[in-house]
Amino acid sequence: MRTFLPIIAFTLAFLAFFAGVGWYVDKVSGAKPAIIGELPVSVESGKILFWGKGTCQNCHKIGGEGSNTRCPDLAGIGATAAERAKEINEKLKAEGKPADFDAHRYMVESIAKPRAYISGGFQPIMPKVFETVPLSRKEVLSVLLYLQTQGGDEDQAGLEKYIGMIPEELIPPEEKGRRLFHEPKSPAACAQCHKIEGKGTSTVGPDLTGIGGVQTAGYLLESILFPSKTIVAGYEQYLIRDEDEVLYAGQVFRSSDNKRWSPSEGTDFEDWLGDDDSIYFVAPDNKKSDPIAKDEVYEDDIETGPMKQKLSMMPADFAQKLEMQQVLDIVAYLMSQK
Amino acid sequence: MKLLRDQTQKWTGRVAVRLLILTVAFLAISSFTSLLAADNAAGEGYRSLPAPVDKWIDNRTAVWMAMQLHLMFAAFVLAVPIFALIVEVVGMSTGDDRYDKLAKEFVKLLSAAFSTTAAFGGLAAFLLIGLYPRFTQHWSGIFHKSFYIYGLLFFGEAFSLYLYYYSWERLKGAAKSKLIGALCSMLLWISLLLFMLLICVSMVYPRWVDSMMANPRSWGLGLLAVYVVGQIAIWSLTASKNFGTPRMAHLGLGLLLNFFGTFLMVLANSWATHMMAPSGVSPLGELNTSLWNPETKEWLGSIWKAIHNPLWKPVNVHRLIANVTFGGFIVGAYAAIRFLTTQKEEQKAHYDWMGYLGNFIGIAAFIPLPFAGYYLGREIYGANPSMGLLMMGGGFSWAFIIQAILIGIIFIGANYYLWMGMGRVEGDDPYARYIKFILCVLFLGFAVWLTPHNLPLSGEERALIGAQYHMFSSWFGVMVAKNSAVQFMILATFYSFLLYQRRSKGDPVPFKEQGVPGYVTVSVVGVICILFLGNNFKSLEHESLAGKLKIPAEGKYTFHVSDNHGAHLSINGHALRTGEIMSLKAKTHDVRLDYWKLGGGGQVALEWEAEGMGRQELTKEALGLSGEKTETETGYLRHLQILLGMQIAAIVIAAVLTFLSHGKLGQVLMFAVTIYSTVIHLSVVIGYDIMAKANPLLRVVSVTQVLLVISCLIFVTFLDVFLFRKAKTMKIRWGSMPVRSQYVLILLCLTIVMLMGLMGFIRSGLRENWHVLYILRDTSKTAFTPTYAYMAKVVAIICFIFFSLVSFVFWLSSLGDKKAENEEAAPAIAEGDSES
Repeated sequence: MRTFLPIIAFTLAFLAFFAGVGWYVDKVSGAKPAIIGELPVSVESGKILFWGKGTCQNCHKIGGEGSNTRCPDLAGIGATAAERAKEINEKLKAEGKPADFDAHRYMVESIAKPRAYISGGFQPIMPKVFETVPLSRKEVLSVLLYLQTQGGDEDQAGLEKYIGMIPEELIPPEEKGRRLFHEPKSPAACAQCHKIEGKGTSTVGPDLTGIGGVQTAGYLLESILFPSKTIVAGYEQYLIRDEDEVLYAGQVFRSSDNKRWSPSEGTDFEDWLGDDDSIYFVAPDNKKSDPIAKDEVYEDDIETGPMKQKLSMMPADFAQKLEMQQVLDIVAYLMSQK
Repeated sequence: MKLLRDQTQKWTGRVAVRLLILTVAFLAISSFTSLLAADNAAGEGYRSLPAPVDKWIDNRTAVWMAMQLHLMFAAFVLAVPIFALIVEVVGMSTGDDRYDKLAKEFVKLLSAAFSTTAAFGGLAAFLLIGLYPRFTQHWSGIFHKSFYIYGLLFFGEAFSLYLYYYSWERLKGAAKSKLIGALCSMLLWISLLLFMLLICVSMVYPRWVDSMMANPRSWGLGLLAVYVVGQIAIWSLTASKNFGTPRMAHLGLGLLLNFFGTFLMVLANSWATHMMAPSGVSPLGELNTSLWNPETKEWLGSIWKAIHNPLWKPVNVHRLIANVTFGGFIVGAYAAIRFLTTQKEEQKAHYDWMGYLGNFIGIAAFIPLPFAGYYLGREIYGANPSMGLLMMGGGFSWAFIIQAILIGIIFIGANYYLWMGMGRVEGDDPYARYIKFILCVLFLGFAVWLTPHNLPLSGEERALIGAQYHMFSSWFGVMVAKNSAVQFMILATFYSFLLYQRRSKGDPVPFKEQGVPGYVTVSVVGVICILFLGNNFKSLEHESLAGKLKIPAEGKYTFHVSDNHGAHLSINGHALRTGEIMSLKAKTHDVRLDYWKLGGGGQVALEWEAEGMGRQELTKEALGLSGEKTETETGYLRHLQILLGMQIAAIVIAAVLTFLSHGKLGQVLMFAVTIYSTVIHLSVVIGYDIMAKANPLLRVVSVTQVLLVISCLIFVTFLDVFLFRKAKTMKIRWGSMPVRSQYVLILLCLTIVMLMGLMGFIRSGLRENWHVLYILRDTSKTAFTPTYAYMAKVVAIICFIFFSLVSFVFWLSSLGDKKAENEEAAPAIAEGDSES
């Protein structure tokens, strides 16, 4: 065993040397260990985040602390922000605009929109840290409080006026998709035609409750971008003419019981409609037509029934209306419905 | 006969027990994998380790340690068969029994190491399944088909390993019949073909797989034809030896072992590289045979596309070479420990020789490793420029400073060992006077590599200098200087090698004594090097186009650049990636397009799209792009072409000088031209100018440097072989090395293992807070990059565990030998035996 001792000591010394190099690098760059878990909003938390989880020290230094010079030295940033705000206000005044810009906004905006203000001699390389690191709104607030104390005074209320520019927390794709799906003013507004989770009233599109459990993401992606490729049975689009040969397109409903025309083999349209009933249409734009009595329908169409179309009722322009990421967010939301 | 039967029963029994253990381990892994679906049904993203373990270690560190240890053992299990096969072949060709015994000694270590590798693999898989169910669901959704193949390959490796080891002594001597001889050579040829095919498709031409899938019949017939022609050739060459020998079958088993091991490695590499550069899947990460590609409006996607991602090939190449280095240094350290702990002179001689051999193989593989690393780094940049910037210029740049320290230790340590090794050879050392110069090159190179670009400066210092960077940082901290320094260190180490080889030989013999093989080999290698360099001329045909783009209406525009060799598009000076969206005002904008013409092989197509206009082609004419290259760029490219021409001329002249028996002068010429071109011209003369004035050209500068150095290494090696092939061999006093030399071998092993841990951290950390880059985000509590102090601590602990376990494995495997060792001395290498 004694013969092995020098070898073991040599090995341990080398491992310690390596660990020492790592420690020294952190000492030079100013990096501090990240703390796992939530921290209260405070200057102290901001300092921990700046030198730890936030990885701000990868590019910035603060006076004698840290060494990286890719981005500006933030020593005195609290005071610098006030000077910058003053300069911006002067410009605004010159343009005849209200000069209400303040240092708090400058600081928040520098993180929310990293390319808004680039210091001379530096490249616009800063990412949106709340997306890449990621830091929550509270954590960014703490970092800003810490930076305020570099040459200035801590003013949480001042920062909170603008902190809304930073997302409260990183919104998961499913949540973004849910908002796009349900919000009537969103460019997708899927809930206008589809029900899901018991929400929505329209029956134009299939009920998508539990869709993630039965369909693949690829199928859903395809259905959004190319809705006519696969049309769910019962949700096809039909054409029919009235006695004046005016063409109606959409889904056909029976007025008496609001039942949708969805023929199985051998179903006769005339029999399905009955003698005294009428039909109405729901067009692709989700608008309902006035009732059309049986005797007002073009006679030939009564016999042959409405003409099934290859085109889906669903708009085919989502690829244009939405960013690709938004489409993916909707798919992520639908896939979470299991 | 009874003895033979008993022995056979004994080893078949051992094999059966070990296979049973492996089967149980594999089934356990499989059953846990099948539980995955149930886990995921709950939709949980993450779980914690059970209390109180979660207080001591977090999820990520637990997976990190298990994975890294698995990788280290896997590297050992893959490296040793490569090492053993090389050594066995050398033993066969030289007829030196020492090599055969050495190869067997190391394969014996494999069985215990193999089980440990599997155990760590199982542990890592369980940790992933248990702690990261969302990720494992995603991962298995894409790769589950490859899991089954992986399992079967695992069996293949186990079977071939035990057959290789236990048949070692049996597969010797002459074949008992012609049929057995023919079957033996068939096994060798089939194994060799399989191995070569695997290397080709995983490391050189992955596109062969697409071709195989498209034309399976043609490929099947083609491979059959290659097999038949080769087999007939082998049989005709071995007709006098019953058409083959049992030893050929044994080599075939060794190749099969390497085939299965390498196959396992490349398959697992695809999982890891997919996480960094996912391809073949939808933007949601789903593998679907009808995947929609928004770029081409096509539906594509297959598991092969997921495997064949942009980083798969470079990682395969890098890991294979690194494994050989790793194996060599592990063998070196093993030999050093045995050397230091034995008192017997014969054993010291044996382990000194073993250490020399381990170091030789380790360093031989280490020299091309920076090239493979450069290739991998370049592909990382190509796959994702942000990741590339993060790696070398961002948060991970300090990691590369630490890497430089470790690589510097390897370069200096390996050279130091070689210099000490010259003392083994009898007589005065005529080459000792060169060592101080080599040492200077190594230390200066090391210093340059170590110089960070962002060296900290105080405000006063900056004011004093009047610049943002210190003069050392601005000159030596940039890639131009670092590339040149590395090339110089590689050339210096190679020179040490040559000196060592030369020290053990007498004067070179006149070249004509080498006969036809000498002339033919030197000529063929020279022509290959010239073709290799000449081909690079084409890649220097570069076109820079500049023009104006008139934007009709303010809005968001998407630009698509499709090319096959790295084109760069920039608008108003802002570099754009293909598919990148840019907001542009309704006015005229400056456009610049750089691409590589590659002798007509390079093509570029530019398209743009915006709301209301769809996707349209942007022709060069529409942009008013003129093909005028700036004079600066043309001039730089001409420099590179002249340097390539000089290297070609140097090869021709060196060959002629060698044929005229002035080979040493030829070697000096090769070194002089290469050092001038790579170290002086491409850094001091034009390198910094290119960096400042034509930055995109730096890529070709680096490639040219690599080609020049590789051609020098290859050609000079062959010249050296034929200069000293029949020269007098000096006597070597094996076992006479000083104790400190053995610590150098241990240091090399420690450093390579540490380096592996560090690079594992970098490769995995580059994804930052993504499990799968831009597809599956890591939203766990530990989704942040740990500090270097923490990284170094974890890697040091991993290495400590690895060394402890490897020592345990070595001890285990030596238990059975203790008695035999006492009774029988190690293979005697008497003083005065020559080096082979």
